[in-house]
Amino acid sequence: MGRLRIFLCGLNSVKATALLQICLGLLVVSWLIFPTHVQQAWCGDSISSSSWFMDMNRFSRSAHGSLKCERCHEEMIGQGKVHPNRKDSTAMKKVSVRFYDYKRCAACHPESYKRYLVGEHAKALIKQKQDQRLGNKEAPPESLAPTCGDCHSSHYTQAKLSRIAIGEQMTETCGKCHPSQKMSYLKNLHGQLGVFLKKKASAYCTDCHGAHTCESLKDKEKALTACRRCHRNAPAGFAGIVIHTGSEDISKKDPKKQANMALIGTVKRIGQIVTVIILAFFALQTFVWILRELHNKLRGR
Amino acid sequence: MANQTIRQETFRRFSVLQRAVHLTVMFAFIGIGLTGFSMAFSSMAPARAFAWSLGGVESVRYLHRVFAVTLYLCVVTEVVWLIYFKFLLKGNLFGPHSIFFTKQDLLYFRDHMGYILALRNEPPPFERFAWWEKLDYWTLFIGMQTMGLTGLLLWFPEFFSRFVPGYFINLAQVLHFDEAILAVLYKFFIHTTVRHFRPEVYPGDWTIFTGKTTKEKMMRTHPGEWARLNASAQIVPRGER
Repeated sequence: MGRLRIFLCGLNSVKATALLQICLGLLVVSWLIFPTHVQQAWCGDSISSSSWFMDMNRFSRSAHGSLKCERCHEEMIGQGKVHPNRKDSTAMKKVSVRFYDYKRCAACHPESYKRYLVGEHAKALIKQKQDQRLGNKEAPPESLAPTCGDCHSSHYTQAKLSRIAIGEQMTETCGKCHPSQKMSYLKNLHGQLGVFLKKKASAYCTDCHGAHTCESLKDKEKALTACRRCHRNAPAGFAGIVIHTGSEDISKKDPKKQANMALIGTVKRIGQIVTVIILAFFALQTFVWILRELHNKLRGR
Repeated sequence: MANQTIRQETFRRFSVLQRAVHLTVMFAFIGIGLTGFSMAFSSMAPARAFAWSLGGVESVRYLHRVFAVTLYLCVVTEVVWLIYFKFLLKGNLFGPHSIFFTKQDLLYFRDHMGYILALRNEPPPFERFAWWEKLDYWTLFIGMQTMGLTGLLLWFPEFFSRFVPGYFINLAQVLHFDEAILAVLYKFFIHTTVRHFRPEVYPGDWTIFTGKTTKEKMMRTHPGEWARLNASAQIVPRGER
């Protein structure tokens, strides 16, 4: 501590202060003249996909880049309040996605919107809102079920991406709220082929769970229908193949599936132990064997 | 030098068929290991780079299956030869020249352990095949059956899920991967170390490629076989194992 104090006292001298100020100045100047895209790369995505602020450069390159603001933001009214709301000083700190009326998306994307309304995410959102009304407990906006803007960036999503690029983005987007499912998907054959090995014919999230409907496939019949979209001749037992094998992914209400996965886990554990024992034994045995023969050779036998 | 057939310097240890099968298995095994692991570890960049260098995942999958069929054809060849040897040549499957494990091998294994731990001065008098040679053969032979079965389940899941519950495909995947790790580490590290880096054989035992072995080597590594050869004063029947 004493040394540190001496060092800090030394810094307090005129010379050192001047030097530090020059360094600081250089840093600020270099920051100002540095290319903006490098700054952005260093800072990460400074503007999140759906915030109150937006990056016009990225917007103009996006799928909606040719639209005028008024096309989507005509009235500048969200939830009955005019924007900008000068009376509410915390307005800008609220999650912007919750204020936009995504019914407007239906004007151009009617099919997607219809599918969303019958899907699991919409059902979950309705249930959460009912719970809020009944129990009066305010759920934080981050934990609410998603609407359009939570998964799609209306300002920055690019058009005409390849199927593989969309699949990769999808894995990330869905994985934000379903991390264990993302992990187990990437460990599964479909994830490895589709995301890592770039095989177009592999299945991404929505290929099985449905685009915008986002169905749970706990029901065997539904799952089989999903399988048969690619595996035409799949028999009934085919739906029994577990895709999301993580322990968190399997429903507590399905004890049979849990028992099967527990069995597989046990087999895997035993297999690993046997592998390690066999390899360790033979590695050690070979090592000692080599030493023994070396000993013999050095003795000239 | 009374009997030229016995006293000659080189002996034929492996027939053309055995050498060809070993060579085929060697290359197919390397191929199947590389292609398989480049898919199994595709979350890592080097594996992806290797898959890319082979022309993408489609050709990796294709090659993996080509090598798998090649390997299994080698197993079939061995079985066909076995049947031919047993029923047409009327050979003895459990004789001293056999690759089959016998009770004697357990004793030899114990004695050999004693030798490498310096409890005994001499290695046991191995017959035509020492215990590790038999082990290398049978681990691959049996491993091919289990790998083949689990591999077929993964290759044709639609067909096999008619007969087995769906989670057997998951089980097959787990077992296929675990056994691949075991087989590849065993063959790539322990088999190669035993056949290359032991001072007795360093820098390599080429008998499996040339098929020829010398009198000195035979006396040293297979003294039992040598003794039997001299006692019977007869050369080993062709291709007998």
